[in-house]
Amino acid sequence: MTLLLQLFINGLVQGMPLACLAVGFGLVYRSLRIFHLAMGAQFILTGYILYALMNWFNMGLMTAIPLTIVLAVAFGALIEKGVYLPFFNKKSSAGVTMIASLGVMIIVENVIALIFGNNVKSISTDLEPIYLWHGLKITRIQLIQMLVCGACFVGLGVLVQKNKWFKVIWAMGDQPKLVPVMGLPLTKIRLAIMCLSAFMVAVPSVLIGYDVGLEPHTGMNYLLTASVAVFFGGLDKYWAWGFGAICVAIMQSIVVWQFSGEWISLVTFATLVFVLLFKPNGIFGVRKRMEEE
Amino acid sequence: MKKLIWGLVIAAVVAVFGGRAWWLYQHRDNNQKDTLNIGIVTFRGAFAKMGQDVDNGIILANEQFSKSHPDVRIKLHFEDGKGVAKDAVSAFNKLMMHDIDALIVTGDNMVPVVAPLIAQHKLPAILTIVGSDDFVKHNSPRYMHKNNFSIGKSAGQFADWVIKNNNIKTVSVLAQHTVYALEGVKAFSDAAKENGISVLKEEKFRETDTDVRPVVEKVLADSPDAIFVCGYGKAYINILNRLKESHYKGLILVDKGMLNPETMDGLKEKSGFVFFDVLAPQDKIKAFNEIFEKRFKEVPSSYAQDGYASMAMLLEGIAKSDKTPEGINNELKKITTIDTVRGRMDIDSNGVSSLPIFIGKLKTDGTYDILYVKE
Repeated sequence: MTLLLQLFINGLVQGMPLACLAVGFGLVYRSLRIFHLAMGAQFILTGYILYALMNWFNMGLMTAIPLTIVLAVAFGALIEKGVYLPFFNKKSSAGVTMIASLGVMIIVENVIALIFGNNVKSISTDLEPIYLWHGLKITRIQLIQMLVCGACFVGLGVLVQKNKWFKVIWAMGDQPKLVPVMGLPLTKIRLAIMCLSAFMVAVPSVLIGYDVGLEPHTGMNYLLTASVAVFFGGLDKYWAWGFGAICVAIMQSIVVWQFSGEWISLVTFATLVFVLLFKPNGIFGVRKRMEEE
Repeated sequence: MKKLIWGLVIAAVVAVFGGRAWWLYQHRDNNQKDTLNIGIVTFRGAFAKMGQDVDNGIILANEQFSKSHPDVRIKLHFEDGKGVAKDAVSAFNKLMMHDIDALIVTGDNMVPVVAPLIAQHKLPAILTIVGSDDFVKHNSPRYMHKNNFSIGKSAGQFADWVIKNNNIKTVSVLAQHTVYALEGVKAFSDAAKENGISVLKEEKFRETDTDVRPVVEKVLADSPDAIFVCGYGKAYINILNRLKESHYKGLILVDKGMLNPETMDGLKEKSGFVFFDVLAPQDKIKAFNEIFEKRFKEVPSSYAQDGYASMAMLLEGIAKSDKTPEGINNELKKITTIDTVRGRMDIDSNGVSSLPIFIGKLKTDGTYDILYVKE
């Protein structure tokens, strides 16, 4: 029983960084209608920026993290300006933009491998202290991940519901064509979405990179899990992304209780397929009229 | 105008690629027996550093051989198998376009798919950085000759020593889902069971796993006296770190990958790991390192040593042969013992090789104490 509880807590803790990644993916997918494969590149690049700042420029962790996040957001803006916006202006199809996004991911992955090598890089060199409670354990970095990512997720969720400009970002996902009609600056809103997405990816990237180290080819794994969380919860509700992320993370953790760890991916995607069979719009998905699709 | 420009661009691309293909065809190797073509199925991508080290070792051995045997012309052809089965077949097929006389295959993952092709083409092949002996079932008649330690044999010897010299009643094992690690863990488990030790859990993990804590917690839940971990890469390093983080009181037993620079750099606390590795003669290693550093301007890893030893073995076969693939293969089959830079290697009639090992215990500063030597 202790093991099951421990695995449950592990999943709950992992769910928070995954929720942020889900937001990073979901915002772009929902509002810009782009399958944001370049998010995988953003994820790994952020970690390597932190590594470079600490090892090449000898910055302390607390100085390097904010600068890393700023640079990561700048990269997100660059993707929008350099890749997504030009394709949008040319009225390219979603498939074409997705391929371009994949291209960004492949290029960034390989450039990182070229510069840093394929070997695992560590940011943290010390073991994390463990906190025990009735036989259950959590490390300091897990606690930080949960609290920081949880705060970011909840904070953005509140802003989406209360702040006018965040409401516009959310509304854009429902009716993107109304944005220019209502005189709102479409280009600036697109840029804001990409920057927000980059921020929500950068925060967990920094924390996860600090915890487990860096490798150039792991971005796709996190991207796919984040996308599963979004589709599992439902595309049209912000809080559903968090619900989806926590469910996916708990499921990935608990599957090990009775099965081998190598079945984690299978269970994750099989569950997604099962849910979509009965609830095509996700657990909290909203059924739309045909003309709204 | 736009159409004209596009037309010219397309014509230029076709001309460049067509011209290159024609040039390659004109300069293909036409089975000239004064030039021996050696194909190497290497890897880049996620294993690039490992693959490059092996290749450099092969190149160094070839250069030394060419100086001492100027009458034998050897040309090396490298193709990237990416360490993945499906790309290994593609790499093999590309090498066959060069009329290969002999082959070197790098890494456990590529051997199972390349083995039938080797038999089909009757090519002598040296297997390097291949710990698994699984290839034996594809090796009749024998064309493959392994030049590496045997993970199965070594893990069994490791288990025997650990169990007899430590107060252990229960073990659990964690294996990466690769041919190498699964075979190592199986050998360890079998040896443990033969010694009357209970194997509580046999868990697997994948290189792509982003969170290894669940599988570590599952293994720790039984509180085994020892845990044996076999694998390489990020997930493997994370598992070792998690075990240390959990203040696990038992023995953490690790395979040959412990001393790799990547593993040592990634470990947050080094002390206490008990591992086994190949017992390489230090004088030969030192001499090799000096030559390698002079040539490639970097310190060689054990993979470079493996590549060098493999090529040296192939060249020994070539030197004594009539320079045909069958002749080379016959000479390689005669080699039962060979002194390599990694130590004295024994090779049985199935082509399975083994090297002497030692068992060590890591210290905080990354150095180690030798606990046992198995010649």
